[in-house]
Amino acid sequence: MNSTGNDAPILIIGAGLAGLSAALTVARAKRRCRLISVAPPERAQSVLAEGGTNAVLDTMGDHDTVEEHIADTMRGGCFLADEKAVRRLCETAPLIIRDLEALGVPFNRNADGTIAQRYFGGQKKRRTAFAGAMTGKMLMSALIDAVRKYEADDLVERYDHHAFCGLLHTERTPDEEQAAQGTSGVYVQDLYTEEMLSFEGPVVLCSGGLNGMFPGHTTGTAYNTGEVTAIAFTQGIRLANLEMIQYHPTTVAIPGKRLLVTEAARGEGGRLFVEKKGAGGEILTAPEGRYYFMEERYPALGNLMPRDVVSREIDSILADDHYGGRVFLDMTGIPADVWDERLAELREEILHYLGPDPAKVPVPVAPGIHYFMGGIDADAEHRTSLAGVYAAGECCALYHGANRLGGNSTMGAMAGGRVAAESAMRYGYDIRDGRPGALAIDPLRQAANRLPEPDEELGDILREGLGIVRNEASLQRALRRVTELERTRGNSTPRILLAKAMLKSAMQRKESRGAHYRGDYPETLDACRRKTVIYATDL
Amino acid sequence: MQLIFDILRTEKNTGRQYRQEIELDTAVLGADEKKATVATALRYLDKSSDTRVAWDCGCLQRRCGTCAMVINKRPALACDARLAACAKKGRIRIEPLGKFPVIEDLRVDRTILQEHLKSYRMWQDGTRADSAVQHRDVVYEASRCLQCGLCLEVCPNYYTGGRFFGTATAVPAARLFGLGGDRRKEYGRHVYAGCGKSLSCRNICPAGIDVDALLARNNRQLWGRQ
Repeated sequence: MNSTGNDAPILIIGAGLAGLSAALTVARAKRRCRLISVAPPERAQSVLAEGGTNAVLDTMGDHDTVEEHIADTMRGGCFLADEKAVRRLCETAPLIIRDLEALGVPFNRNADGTIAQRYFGGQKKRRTAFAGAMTGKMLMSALIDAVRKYEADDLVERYDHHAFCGLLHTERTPDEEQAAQGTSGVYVQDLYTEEMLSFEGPVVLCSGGLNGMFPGHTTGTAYNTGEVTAIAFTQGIRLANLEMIQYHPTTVAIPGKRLLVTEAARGEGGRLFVEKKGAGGEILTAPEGRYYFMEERYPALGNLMPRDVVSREIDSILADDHYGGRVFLDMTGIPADVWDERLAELREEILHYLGPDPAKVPVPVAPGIHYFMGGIDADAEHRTSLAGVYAAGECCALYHGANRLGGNSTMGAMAGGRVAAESAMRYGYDIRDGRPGALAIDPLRQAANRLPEPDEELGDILREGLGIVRNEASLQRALRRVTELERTRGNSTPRILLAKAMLKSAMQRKESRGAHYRGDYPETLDACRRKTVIYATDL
Repeated sequence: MQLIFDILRTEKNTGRQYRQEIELDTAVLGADEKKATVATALRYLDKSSDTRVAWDCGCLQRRCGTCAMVINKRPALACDARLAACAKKGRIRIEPLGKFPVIEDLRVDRTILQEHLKSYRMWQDGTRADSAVQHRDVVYEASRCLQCGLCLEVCPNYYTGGRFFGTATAVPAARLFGLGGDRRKEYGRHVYAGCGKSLSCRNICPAGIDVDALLARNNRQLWGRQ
């Protein structure tokens, strides 16, 4: 018996940081892969990542250590993350930076030529390497080039404009030996010709976060519909920690989405404040009337407290009648050379979409949905609950637990893509530990829905149920409304099932932890220190 | 603001082209009205099957290069084209990019951009970390390219299938030169020889890349001058 003998190309779904890292890993091992994505990698959401990527290089004289990176990541995730996986992530991060450096990523440098690192939320050491304010774009440009080299060798075959329609279903046989010869695979559709294709081979899902569940209200891209996760869910894949949705504290509404104001703006000295009210209830707009609430309430980390804490503080102070009802990010104290060297694009973007110069005028901000810590459940080797199916990047719940540290998403995607690819090559379609194969679906039915229209009605319901503060009554109401929606429409889509799973996961966690804050259960309970898992059959 | 969108549409299966005029009162865009772009309007039109046209939408913040099209004769990203700024006498004419095969309506197939980069051998061969550090600013600037294709749309010398690959290759080429890669042969053949120096690509880049400076730098590299 040899479950790894199958040398079918690895099938990678998604061409962001995780997908490209997986492809590069496969190609460097001289194996073939198919890189399947709805759009070319230049369009991936990874290009939006701004602030940086975390690795212990200790170039700033802070005496940073890998153990501290592990501890910060575990603490940031409120001890829901897989510690074994986090340890590997933090240990390999410096090696990945070296590799990226060799691939030509233009990291910012210190005067001595070493890679510069900046402060990021939830971490007391300067650990975030960055390339201007476009770190994600710089990483992607370098990785796209690196993968292209292997395209020329035919080790990587790109399928841009191809949409995932489902996992292949293969009958399991009682004979283990025969079963091990079986295979996983995918159905995909060419969006240009509408031709359906099916490929056999180990599958690595790198399809990104669930932005499409909240259309128009996240900082991500319209391409991240959440459909891959939703379809795989209907085919039996286990999901985890779906209630863990990160609200980034500093976002701004622009047409069609929320624009992120990178955490680096606070890392470089940006300060949050709210306007106080005077004796007569009038709002004090002069600088003396500013209440820098994060600095007063959290003297140690101040504006750089973890994102969930900052978001909740903003959320509650916005609703507090004692204050002016608007929260501002004051970046006027950031020196001119820092703007030029490290935040030029952010300034340009705010000028373009909002108007006033953030170097001169504070910017009104509010929390917005930014990242999904939950998603496809995987073990430390990135194996999902289905034989032959692996996952990495934002679609995969593994490294970030209940909340993600800034700078850990890009590193999690790159490190995860590598491990998932290695596992896919090592284990292939491995059912020896009892993992079932995917359930059958009708790929043509999914194909009709390939790039689904934004479901705003569903998104509105979810936003009510899964806001920054949740409680039983609002979750129950949201679930009833989703069920009602399903009934009036007369059919259920994978996204409706996923929506129910998200709400049920949030109900199941009767405590507050990380990004999941329950108004009715504000305490963090030791008894609840485990991940929430859900199958479609649980609905 | 009352606007008429005049959209050049293409049927997917037959290739038949026709124009459709759609009236839109921008007040329906609500709070977004003042900041609304062509992308905002198209997203609104997507909501009804009568007005929905095929187009590709990505990040909505000028970072991914997805929504490139021709708006009142000027190639632009839909998410970068403010309605108030691009409307002429209340009309906005929208067409797909003209130098790529049209798949449907405003959706075009830009695969050839990837093919160009592949035949240029746009990748690093060996590590020249010192070069990457020394030329960091150039590498950074060139790495910002979106591969959206707007610079090819305005180029008088670029045509599909020709030997000249245009600015969408010349910009990434600056990164490779900056990293110490020797692609002088490819650069001479696919960029230098074909470029008429009209500089029509100068002000079209939605990422604001300083195309002139990178082209001049590449040309110096070609002739072995630093």
